[in-house]
Amino acid sequence: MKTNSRALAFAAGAALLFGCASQAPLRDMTPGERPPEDTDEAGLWTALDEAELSLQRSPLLIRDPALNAYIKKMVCDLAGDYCKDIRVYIIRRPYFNASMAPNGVMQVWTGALLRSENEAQIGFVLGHEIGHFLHQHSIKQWRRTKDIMNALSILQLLAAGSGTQDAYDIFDVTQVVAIASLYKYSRDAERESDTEGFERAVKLGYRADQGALLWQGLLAEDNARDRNKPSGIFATHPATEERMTTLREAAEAFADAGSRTGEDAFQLATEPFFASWLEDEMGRRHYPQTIVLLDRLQQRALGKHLAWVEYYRGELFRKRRAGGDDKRAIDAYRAAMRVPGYPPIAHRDLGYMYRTIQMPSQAAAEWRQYLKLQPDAADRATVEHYLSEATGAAHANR
Amino acid sequence: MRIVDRWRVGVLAIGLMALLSACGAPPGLVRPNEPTKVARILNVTSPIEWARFRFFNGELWTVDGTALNRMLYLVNIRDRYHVFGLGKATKRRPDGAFYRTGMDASEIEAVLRDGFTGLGLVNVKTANLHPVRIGDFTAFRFDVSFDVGSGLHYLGNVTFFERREKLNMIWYSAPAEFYHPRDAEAVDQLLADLQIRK
Repeated sequence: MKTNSRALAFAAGAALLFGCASQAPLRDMTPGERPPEDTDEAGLWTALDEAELSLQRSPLLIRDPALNAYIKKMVCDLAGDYCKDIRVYIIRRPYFNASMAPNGVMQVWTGALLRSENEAQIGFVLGHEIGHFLHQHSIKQWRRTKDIMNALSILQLLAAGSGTQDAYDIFDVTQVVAIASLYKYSRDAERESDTEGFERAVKLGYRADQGALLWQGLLAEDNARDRNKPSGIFATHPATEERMTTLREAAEAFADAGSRTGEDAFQLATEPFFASWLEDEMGRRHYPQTIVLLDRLQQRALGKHLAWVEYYRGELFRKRRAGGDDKRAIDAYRAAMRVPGYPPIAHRDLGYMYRTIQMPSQAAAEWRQYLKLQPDAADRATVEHYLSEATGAAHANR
Repeated sequence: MRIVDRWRVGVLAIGLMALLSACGAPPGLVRPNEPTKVARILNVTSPIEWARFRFFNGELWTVDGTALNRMLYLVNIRDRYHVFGLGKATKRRPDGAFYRTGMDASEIEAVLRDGFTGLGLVNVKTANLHPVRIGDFTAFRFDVSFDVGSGLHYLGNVTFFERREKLNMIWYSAPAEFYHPRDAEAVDQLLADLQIRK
């Protein structure tokens, strides 16, 4: 039985080696070219082209021409000759994410746009995705996964044929190692793309420290998460701390490279969506993370943006209802109201806050102000209902 | 970078099917203009016929299939429980679409909106929140619209009220094309004739 196990272990190692070594070479990337028809990559592209058609019909797509043109131009500036090979899709999702498919489909999620402070930061993210495209990471990973899964299938058959417990144990261990090696490859690809994104952004004159600043903000959010962190070995991307440190070191080496942040242009392009992206973020109801994000947004927010940040801070505390949140909510609504052009709904929701803590006269004053500022409010009947309840004219049914 | 939980919709759909098959009585029929007791606390008279599925805290009615029209009754949602039955708020999971007794109507509207998004619906919009009188109860109603992954656009409304410190809701939705316009008037009449047991 011992000999049998050793033989199986040998077979496992050999099969894995075979699996890892059998990858077809990558094609030379030439702008405007598709992979040759007789390759596995062409088959993958055909499937991805079909997926792209579904993506084009997705209700999650942000179709605003101005925002799409703005992001597409950034991608073109970063991608150079490969501009025409990349199609950008902005997806309404409140999470930090962007992705790149081998056929040139780039997805940018609104959570990434909300978390970027300027062009330099989103430029780093877009450059990172372009890095995945140019280094053909997806196709490498796809082939590697196929090869490893094939090797594991053979091993599983061998283990079943041997009929010993040792063989199954060795197979289990081999399976874990093989899958972990896939994740390691993914982390290496992320590092390579980080470097690519950094270099492309710096080459366009963007400030070199912006990628690290973005990751610093994301790390702070990640640390505020209210669930256990995932295991390091199976994290699909490098730990954010490691990533931030690497980018910071790179930024120090290129400190004099450029001074451009593109903050004004970025604010202008995202202005029409800022409030709705914040509302989507609130909808996640992951309040510890959102507080960190709001703190970061507050530091750079001006004018109406600042009013929205304070308003949603008020909303967060009103909805969370932890100890002391009522005062925090009131302070935040009041801070929003100090900004010219603040949203009138701040009065309405401050009124609801006062109602919750049983301060009816203050609540009534806020609701009156809301209806004065927004006489044609769609929820006027509801506010009037609570207003009459607060003034004692209505009877409650609770 | 992060990948979002697209599987949630599938899990919920499976959960709903399991719920219906495991806990529910066999599908029944709601006959036109016959008063029907729903979940022990509602009396409903509908001008049109519906297929009816019962489960432990509510009922699901449909005319042509749940993807084409759906009237969902959920009753007795308790303090700190998820509005769509996804468990209770805990120290580890304090923030979510959880109902809290005493919420104002706009808060409940927001919780339900976030709950819809959590179910995998997209571009969820709510509007026109207003009080409606049902017997001795003050209920509230708002319009809701949303899209599903296939791109189909839905319209509908939600009526909700608190009874014995628990939340109860009736959610009607149907595709904006054909099905909603066809049944909207009948649904309005059903909601207008609604009775709530004290």
